[in-house]
Amino acid sequence: MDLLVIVLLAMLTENYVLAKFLGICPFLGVSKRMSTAFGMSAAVLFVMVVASLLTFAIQEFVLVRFGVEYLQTIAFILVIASTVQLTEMAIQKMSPVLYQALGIFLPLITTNCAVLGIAVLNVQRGYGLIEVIVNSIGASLGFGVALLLFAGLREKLELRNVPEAFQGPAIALVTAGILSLAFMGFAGLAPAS
Amino acid sequence: MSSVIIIAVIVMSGVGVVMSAMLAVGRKVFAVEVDERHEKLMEILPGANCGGCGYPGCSGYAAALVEGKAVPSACPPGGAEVSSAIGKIMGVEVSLQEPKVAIVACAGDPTLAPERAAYLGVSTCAAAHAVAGGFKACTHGCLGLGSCQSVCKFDAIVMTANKLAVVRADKCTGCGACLEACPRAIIRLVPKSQDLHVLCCNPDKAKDVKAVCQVGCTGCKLCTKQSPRFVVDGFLARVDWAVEGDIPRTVSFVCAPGAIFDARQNKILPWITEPSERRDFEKKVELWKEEEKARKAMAKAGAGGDGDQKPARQPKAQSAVENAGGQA
Amino acid sequence: MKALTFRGGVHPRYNKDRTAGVKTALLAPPNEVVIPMTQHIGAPAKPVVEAGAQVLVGQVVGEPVGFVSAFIHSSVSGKVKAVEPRPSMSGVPAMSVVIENDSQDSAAPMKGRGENWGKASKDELKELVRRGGLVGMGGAAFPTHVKLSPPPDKGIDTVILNGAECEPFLTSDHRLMLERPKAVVEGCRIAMAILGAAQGVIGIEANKLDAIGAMTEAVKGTSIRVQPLEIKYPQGAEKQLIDAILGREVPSGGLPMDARVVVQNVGTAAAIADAVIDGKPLYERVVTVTGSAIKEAKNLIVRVGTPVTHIVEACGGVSGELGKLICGGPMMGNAQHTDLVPVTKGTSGLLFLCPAEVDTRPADPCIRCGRCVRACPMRLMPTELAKLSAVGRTSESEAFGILDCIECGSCSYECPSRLPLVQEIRLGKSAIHAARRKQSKK
Repeated sequence: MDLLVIVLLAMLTENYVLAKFLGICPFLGVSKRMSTAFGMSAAVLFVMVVASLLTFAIQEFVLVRFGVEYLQTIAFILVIASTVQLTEMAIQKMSPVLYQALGIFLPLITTNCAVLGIAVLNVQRGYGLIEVIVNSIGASLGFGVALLLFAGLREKLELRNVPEAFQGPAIALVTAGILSLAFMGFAGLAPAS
Repeated sequence: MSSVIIIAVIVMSGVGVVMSAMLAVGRKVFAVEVDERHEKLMEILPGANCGGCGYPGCSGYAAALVEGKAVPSACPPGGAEVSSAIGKIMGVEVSLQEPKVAIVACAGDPTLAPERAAYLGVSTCAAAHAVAGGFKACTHGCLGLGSCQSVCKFDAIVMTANKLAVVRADKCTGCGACLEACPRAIIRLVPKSQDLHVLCCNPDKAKDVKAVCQVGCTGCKLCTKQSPRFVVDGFLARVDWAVEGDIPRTVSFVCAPGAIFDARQNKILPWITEPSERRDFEKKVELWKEEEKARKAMAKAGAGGDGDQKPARQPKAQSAVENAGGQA
Repeated sequence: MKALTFRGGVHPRYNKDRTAGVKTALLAPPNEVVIPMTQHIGAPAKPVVEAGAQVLVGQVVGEPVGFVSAFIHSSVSGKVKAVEPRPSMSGVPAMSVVIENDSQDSAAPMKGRGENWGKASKDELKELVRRGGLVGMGGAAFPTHVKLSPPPDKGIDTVILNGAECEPFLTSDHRLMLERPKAVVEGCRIAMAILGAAQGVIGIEANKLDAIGAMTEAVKGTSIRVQPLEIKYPQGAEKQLIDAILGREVPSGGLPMDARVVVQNVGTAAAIADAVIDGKPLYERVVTVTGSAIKEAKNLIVRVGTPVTHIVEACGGVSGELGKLICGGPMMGNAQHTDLVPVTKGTSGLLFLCPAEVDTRPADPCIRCGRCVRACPMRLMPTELAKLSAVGRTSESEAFGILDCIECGSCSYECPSRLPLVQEIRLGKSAIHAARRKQSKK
């Protein structure tokens, strides 16, 4: 398949947050400020690409070779968890401020289903190495786009008079829903299957 | 069949070993030194992030403590308990300070200190104060828009029905956040054990004070005759905590405008408008007067004896009066 | 000539008809004047007379403290009654010199340079301006000698006189241009000489055709020209004037001198002429007294320190109930809580509004109509700035240019929800300045 199509699919049409509803936890948790949202997006980009590569390797060279494809989920989670741990250590060392801001959500990338989702999807669609890299970059860019858009909206929301009953998470969820509806508009980009 | 299990176990173990090796290397490469005392401190600090210590939140205070920049007794909400716990963790002696509470040194709500203009702008005290010095005739009194209430993390400030900020001493931790929120600097920290205060910040002459407020201190000095602890600077009385001496409870009735606040009542005399309440109050006054007489007689009898230097307000007598008030 | 203008602005009802044709009259000085020491932007002056002292008209009663400050002169002759804080137009009591008028009007000796001021050095002229206690008479009351002392590397090439008088109701500048055009032109020439500027422009709104005519006549034979301006508020604001007349933009955070221009009010120009030619200090000024609640609207020459009550009496008193007393124009003036305050050097008008003209309805929520954005002459987003200030997001409001706000009030005027936008923005600005002061202290 054309690589550009893969990127656009992963980023917009099949946006992991707004179309597939994966990775909602950090999407709602780390979207109060643009700066932290940006840091989170960068961390997810790194984790997604590395985890995709590692899971691709595990799938190709270990699981398939030994005929234990049924161990896919558990093996992938193991790999992803280790990658996240490594990222956490790196961020703590390199940017303590970002580490503080991301807080609990950093270890939570472990359970970010978007990361597992992309690993599984890569296998399901039978992507090769290049396609895996492109797909994971596209997906994480899509995650970043969604997160940054949402963070921007929430920064604006803070300035508006929201009815008391809707304040806080309620209006955030409503906003996320509308954003998701808007992303449905990208469905037309998908090639006819 | 068993081979399937063995293969699965071997594969997973292999993956696990590789991953843990990676993490072990990472741990070495990205090693960050963390002082374990920081975490311990975070556990015992109140976690209100009130800023009373002067550092950004509890975490900032803990970091400053670990670095040796902060003193263990700087946490007002934590009080003696927390500061001694901090001392234990940090291995230092803690000098205990008397806990303080905030007090709004103004008794003039709009019924007693009238407004001089209608204000329609932004509803915060700082905004109102910035417009021509505020809408209240008294340029030192409480504006009553509740900026102090909104910064209080402990719900210790209530706005009375007549729009006057009053600190609840039982909830106040003395963090001092309200002191900064008040554009007129009429909130101050006082020792928690004290309960007689002058509630006025207007340093003007008697004539000017009377023109703008019924309960403003006029600097008449009657209170100074009651107790050496009262000091009049210019035309404004205050209690000097450094001076030794006692304050007779009756002092709040000597004060002609009624600017002396009795924290046990949580009220000043002019606020009490309900006739029944006023009668109760007067009964208490009688009790206090008798108490005062008895104390003086005791002091006379005890003078030259065993050097009885008891403080004026004996806890027992106090509770007796309180009960009397409660039942009435 | 085509009337020039800037982008943005509002069109309030001008309400100038009542006083535009009324000739300026002298108001007899009151029995007692209260002269505040804070009549200008900058450090308050220091009183130099004591109670009991005899003073003459034009005698110095307050000396400047520091560079950005101004001399203050007695406006009557008589005995100093007291030096004490008195109510002032700022709302808070200000240290004032109270003088009992002996009705002699004996003046202190005044020494000017006469008509041949051209022979005097720049510093001498500047000193005469400083000695005269001159401040900007459009309302802001910025000390004039400071404005006339830009760093030499700025290369000032133009002096603009602001005769726009874009504030509704006010006609004091209008009358001044009609009645003393020569003094205005002389003042402009002196300012140009001090600054070494080759060009002088007098900007006048096109609704004052008679003033444009009078000034055009007066500038004949000089390097000054008269420029008609479109009728729009805030046409008289410095940066807008420069934009309209010269097409130059004052850089963000900069002053007019960064666009090689100095802007003076026409009233200030006339005062410069008085101070330099006659040596007459600034102790009286033209004040427009108008508004539907005052019986007789007038343009009066009022001594500085005259209480508003005295002026009300001279104008036949207040008819019916008084809704609001504003010192200055309705857009940028200050509402007063009492009429016991005295007129100062910066008081261009006194506005007496009846209760029906005062809108006391509370503010409604923002409906995001964007009218404030369209109205803003500084091309800012008032609604966004006000909101950001209200929630304390100062770094963002600073990034959106809150410090460029000139507080003209166009946004608040346009807002259909009556939001106090200018007040929020002003608070946001002071919060930023306070934070900066704190930072620099550290």
